[in-house]
Amino acid sequence: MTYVSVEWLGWLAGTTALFWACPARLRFQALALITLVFLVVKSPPSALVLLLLTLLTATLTRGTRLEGRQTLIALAPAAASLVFFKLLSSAESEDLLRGTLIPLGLSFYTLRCMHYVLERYMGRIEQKPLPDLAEYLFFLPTIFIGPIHRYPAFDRERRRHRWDAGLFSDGLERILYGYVKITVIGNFLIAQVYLDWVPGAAEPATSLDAYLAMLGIGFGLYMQFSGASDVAIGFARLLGIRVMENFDWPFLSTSLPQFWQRWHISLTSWAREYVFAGVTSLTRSPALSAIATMVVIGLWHEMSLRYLLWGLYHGLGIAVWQRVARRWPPAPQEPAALGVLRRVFGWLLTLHFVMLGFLLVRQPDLASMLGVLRLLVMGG
Amino acid sequence: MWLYTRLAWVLPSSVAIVLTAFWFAVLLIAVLFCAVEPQVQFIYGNL
Repeated sequence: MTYVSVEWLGWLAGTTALFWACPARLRFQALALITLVFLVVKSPPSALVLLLLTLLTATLTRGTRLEGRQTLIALAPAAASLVFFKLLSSAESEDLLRGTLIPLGLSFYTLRCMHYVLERYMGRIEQKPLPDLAEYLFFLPTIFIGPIHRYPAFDRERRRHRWDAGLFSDGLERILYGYVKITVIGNFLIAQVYLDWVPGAAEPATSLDAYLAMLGIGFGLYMQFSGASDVAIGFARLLGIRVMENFDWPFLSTSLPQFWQRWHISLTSWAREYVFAGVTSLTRSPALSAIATMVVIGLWHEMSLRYLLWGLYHGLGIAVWQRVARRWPPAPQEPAALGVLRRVFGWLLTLHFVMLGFLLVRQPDLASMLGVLRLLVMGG
Repeated sequence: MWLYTRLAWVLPSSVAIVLTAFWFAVLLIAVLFCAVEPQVQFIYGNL
């Protein structure tokens, strides 16, 4: 399913019209039903898997308070289905089912299920009836590209829900900007004009070719992904719901930890809250926690060696960055010019570190990764 | 309407409306023009 299609625009417009045409008390139930119909039309197995996960999550989180063992059991269906389908669809899988498609939206859906279970365990959410949970999980705007919005914020928005012309107008504007990012900047200016202009972008033969292609790939990815998030956030606003932001000018970050607070925010904040905090409480080591968190984030994208290495690359990068920042903090009386220089250097280093990561993770295997690295550093 | 709000601070409201509408029309035409081109999917894991 792509956002750049008349079909998706049809779903977007039709859902918005039906949603507001419904009586107020039935709107979110109708939206959950429309989402289910969408899934059934696009991919019936996906609808079945997500429906089953919803039922299991609601059933297994019953009770006034979740204990440790019950929490693990309640987490199991979402976690197991995520790992199962990711492994099946992995390009490295030699299984007969190799190439099996991941159920539509599963990557994002399972994290929202796990968020609900973990919040129940921590006592921050009371038990919710199945329809309430289904309305949160079956939310069409965010179902297949995120943001991984949270239950308490969604519930708050739902309770004070009303028609807001300003928010509706914001939504339309956001969708337009999202499509500008996807089609005009990401697809036309970067993928076609820029990468066509870079000599040998497809198969770079020199360091400069590889470097320019690397920048195009990184910025292109950002435009496509943040554009899709804009469309999702705008769609939610058309329905009168504000969902969390996903990007905050990540390529202007002046440090690697800052980059990960501004890139795919809904995922990184999820991982910080549930993985980083958990591992830190066990190991008392922020460096180890950063590495574990980034490995989990990497494997969430794809269960493969290259994404494992990508996670390790970023985890180690964050650990080293934080160590260096602690070892050489800015002097209290640092001249302003030195501060500017430090930030410019941090920005350049972060930008290139991240771009290199995006280039490396596109390579199918370790040998290709090393080949690209050699090309960049030594020119072939 | 971020753009309109900013424009309306320094320009008469009617001018701000016209400029905002013009800006959105330009963006919409650019999107329609580029949307008919073949779309490239950037690879970012298996989501």
